[in-house]
Amino acid sequence: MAKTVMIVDDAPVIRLMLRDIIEYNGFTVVAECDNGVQAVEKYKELKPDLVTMDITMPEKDGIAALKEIIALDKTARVVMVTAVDERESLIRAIRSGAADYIVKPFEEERVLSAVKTALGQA
Amino acid sequence: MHYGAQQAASRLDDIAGGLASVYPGSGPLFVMLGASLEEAAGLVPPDFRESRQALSCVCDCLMDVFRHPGSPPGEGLALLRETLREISCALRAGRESSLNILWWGREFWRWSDSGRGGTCPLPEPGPFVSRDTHVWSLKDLPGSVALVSRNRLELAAETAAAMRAMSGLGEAASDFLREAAKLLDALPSMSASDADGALKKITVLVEQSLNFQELETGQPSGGAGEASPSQEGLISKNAEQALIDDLCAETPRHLSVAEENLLKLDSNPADMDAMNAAFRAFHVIYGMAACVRLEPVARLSGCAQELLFMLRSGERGYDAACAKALLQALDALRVISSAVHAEHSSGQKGALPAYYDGFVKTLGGLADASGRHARAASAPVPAHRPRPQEVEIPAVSAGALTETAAPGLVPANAQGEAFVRVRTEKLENLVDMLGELVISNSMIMQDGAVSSSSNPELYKKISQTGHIVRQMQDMAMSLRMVPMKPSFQKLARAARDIAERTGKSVEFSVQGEDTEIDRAMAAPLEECLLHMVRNAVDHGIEPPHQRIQHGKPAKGHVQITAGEAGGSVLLKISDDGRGLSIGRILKKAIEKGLTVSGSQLSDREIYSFIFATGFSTAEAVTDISGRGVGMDVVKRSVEEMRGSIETDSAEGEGTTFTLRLPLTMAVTDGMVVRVGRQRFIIPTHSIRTAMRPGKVGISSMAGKGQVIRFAGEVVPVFSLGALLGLKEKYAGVHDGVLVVTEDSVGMCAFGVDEIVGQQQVVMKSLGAMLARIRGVSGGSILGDGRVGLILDARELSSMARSGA
Amino acid sequence: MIDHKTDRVIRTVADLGMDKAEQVFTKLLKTSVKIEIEKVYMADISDVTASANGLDTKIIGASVDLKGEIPFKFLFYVEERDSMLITDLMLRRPPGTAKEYDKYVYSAVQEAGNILASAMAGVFAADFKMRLAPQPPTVIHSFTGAVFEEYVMSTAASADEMLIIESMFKLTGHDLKCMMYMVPLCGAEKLIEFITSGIY
Repeated sequence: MAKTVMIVDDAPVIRLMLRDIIEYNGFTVVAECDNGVQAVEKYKELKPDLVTMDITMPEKDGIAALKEIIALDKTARVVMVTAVDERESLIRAIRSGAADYIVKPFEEERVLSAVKTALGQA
Repeated sequence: MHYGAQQAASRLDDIAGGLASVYPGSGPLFVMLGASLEEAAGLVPPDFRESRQALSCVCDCLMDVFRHPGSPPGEGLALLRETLREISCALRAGRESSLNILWWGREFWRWSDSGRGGTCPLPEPGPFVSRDTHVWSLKDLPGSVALVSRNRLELAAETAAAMRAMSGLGEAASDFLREAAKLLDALPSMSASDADGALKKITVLVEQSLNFQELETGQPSGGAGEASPSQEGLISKNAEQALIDDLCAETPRHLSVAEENLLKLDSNPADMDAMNAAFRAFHVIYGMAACVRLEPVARLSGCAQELLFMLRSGERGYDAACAKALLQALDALRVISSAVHAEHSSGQKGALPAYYDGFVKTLGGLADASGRHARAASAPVPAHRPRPQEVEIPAVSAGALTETAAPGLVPANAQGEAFVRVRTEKLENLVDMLGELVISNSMIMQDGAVSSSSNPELYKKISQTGHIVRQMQDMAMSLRMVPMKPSFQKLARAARDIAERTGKSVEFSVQGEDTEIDRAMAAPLEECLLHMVRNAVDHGIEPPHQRIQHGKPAKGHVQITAGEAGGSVLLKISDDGRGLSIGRILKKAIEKGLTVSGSQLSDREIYSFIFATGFSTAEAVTDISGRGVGMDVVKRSVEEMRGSIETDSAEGEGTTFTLRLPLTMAVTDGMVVRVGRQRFIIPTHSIRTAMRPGKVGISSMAGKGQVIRFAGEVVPVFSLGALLGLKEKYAGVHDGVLVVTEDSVGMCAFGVDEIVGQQQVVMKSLGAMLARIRGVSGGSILGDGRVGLILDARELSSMARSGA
Repeated sequence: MIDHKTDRVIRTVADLGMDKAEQVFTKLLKTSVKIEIEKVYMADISDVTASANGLDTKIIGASVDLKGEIPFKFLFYVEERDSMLITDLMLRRPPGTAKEYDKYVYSAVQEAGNILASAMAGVFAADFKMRLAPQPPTVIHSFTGAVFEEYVMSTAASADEMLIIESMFKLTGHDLKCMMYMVPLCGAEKLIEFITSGIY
């Protein structure tokens, strides 16, 4: 069964770009969210195999959402996809349980390999 | 002196001073400025042709500036200020013409030209014609190089060449000029503020050489006549204020040093240290006095210095007469210099003490004037070179700090920066203490009571303090570190010189010239590098025809690459010459009994023989290198600096020496990670990213062990705990975090338990014994007071890859 | 009026940010981008709207608040017809594919603004230890004047004047210009003070 992915980003254009990459490579996108609150809700509901998470979002930012999701499910795989290119943010995300941290603008290959690694398909 | 000229000069000084208040868009001010300049021009007497010409050119340009207000005028105003100052100086000195006026005027004209075109109405400062003109013209070098122009540098280079070529001067004079030439050579690579200082020194040196010329030939060497002390006070009109400031400030101290040591000498005439110290003190005073043409002080201190020189060299025995004369000289100097000080600060004209003339005769008699002056001056230490145990720090006021952020602007009252002498020991203590402060501050920041969300205000305040503390530390660090660029300039020069002398064609290049090293290492390191570069050019690079025969380009290449890696400074000196011959080295080593034939030695071990004392495989010992005493000294030096030197070579292809030197104190940004209960710091600059692969992310690859995919590459994964041989329990690579590092070889992922955070760490060297641990470059105290080892990512990677 | 020194310092700071912005934008659109700092100036709040060029041009802009010790307000905009080209470039689609002002076009401008602002924030953090946290951008599609007014008013500047850093982007191969504005909310002095306390 194909692995399921949830995309979280407040910009439709980014969600579209990620969806294209992910679906093209054989994964299924089961949900798209545009803020942190929705992200946690949908995660509870759908338990996707992987989540791509933006950081800068209204309502609740990506780090907070990440923390909540990890608290719910220790085995959750969350890959951050964000414009914030700062070492501190990377550390914060990894410490909070993120599997990887991708900086926008991203290369398709980078996203793909991060997703595959996070899903255990090297 | 023309009254008119005086008036014009004053007016110009006023205008120059007022330029500071002109700002962009201040139309009315510009107009008034133009009007004042025209008025001042009118006051200049007709025989000051050049000044008049310059002023009228400047006025014209000014209107151009006003008409094109888009360009920031700050730079132009500075140029204008200098032009006006020069004109004013020339007017006051009664000099009709001056290189400077033309120079600055042309610069201003050039700056203000926004499409005006045409040629500058001011002529080029004329070419140097005679030896005297050369030497005298040096004094005319612009006082400030805040705005360094190509012209000026060309002039400097020309002058340096001329100075070197000058013959017929006495040895002492030549020495001063050689010193000045060296400074001029270095000028292009100096920062604006350094260059200012350098020019001052050059002026001093030239003055000194002039003085010696006079003393030797008995004739003054051109220039304005000296003001006679009895009529117009002690201070000559031409004297530069800043230098008189220096003189007044420094002389008392040097006099007391001299006195202290003269007294020591009195109780123990064999005390060489005291004699040297006294000599140096008088010498410095002499230098300062000479450059402001303060004749009485110069003569007295000069004679005293000479007498001490003779005592030192044994030409004269120390006796009561000497002792008395020297101390009297000291007293006389005290009296005169305080008169000078009074005159300088209050304008009250001073006079020489009555006994002066007679006394100078006595002193001179003791020192026996004929021909000794020359030798006295060729002793070391020209006036302002900082001595080994002291450090000169520019004392920049807070206002000027912001000034330096905008290059090209000369602060309104620029007199050049003031310097403060500070004992190195004090500086080191300060730096150490700041290091402790950083740690202390980290400890506070990490304290639970502070970082908890219950008191965000407090956290913010402490954060702010931390910010300031870090800045202070950066400042302290920068005080210790000096850029290698000036050394590299010297190396480039040496390479060129030797290439020329030996008929080789060599290209010398440097990478990483902005690398900085600890001040204390700068000089010994330069020596080492100099020797190695000489070797490379003299012995390494083959003559062009040989190179072509071997299919190499005729031009050889010597390159120095400098950089920082994992807490060390790395310097690579490489050439593409003939390389080291294993056979020849081995043969020589056997000859010298360093080894026996048939012993199994690796290439590395064989190369290491070249560092043995007295070793040299050069066929002929040239006067440049090849005496065989060089490389062993280099090695010793490097080891004294707690560094290491590696050799790599391929016969027929070239040689590379790699010097690794510690940064005795470095502050690194590091990521603190935890493995088991241990904390380690990985310098941020080696880290590419971090990730949590989980059980699924890591795969095994045949022949490569565990790997992950990252950024399109296959990256090997290693457990840091396993690599470092930790005995305690730590997380497996699947359960923790992977820190992905990158170096020139590639990427490597190290598994740690968790990332604790980021911290600026003060690296402390681990001392000789522990320094040998592979993978570790130093230690530091972490925010909670515990010790963390700082890891060298590059070494770890190579350890990991080689399965060590 | 800004004095020369202030102008220089601010331009240097802005230049550093622009370098990164160029890199990042080039990567985003996969086309070479040049950014030039047009002007650094102090403007009267009431004058700003007046000076915005082409008042009757419709633009789509993204404004980003950068919160922190030295807060900034950032505005990025393109002429409305160019926004579709930006979208196509971003999505690696043939230019001309986007035909209407839909959520993709708006979010393309939004993300461009977000990415640019974050890149600048990263540079300021790294080079000047200035921590700035970008907030989610606000997108406006309106006449230049209106966009500016919204931008300026929401700045809630305490002074009557604000320091404006204006830059223009040029994309090679496409006749397209984007504008970017940075306003340090504390004013020029505070900004310079912060920076120069770290330069010696």
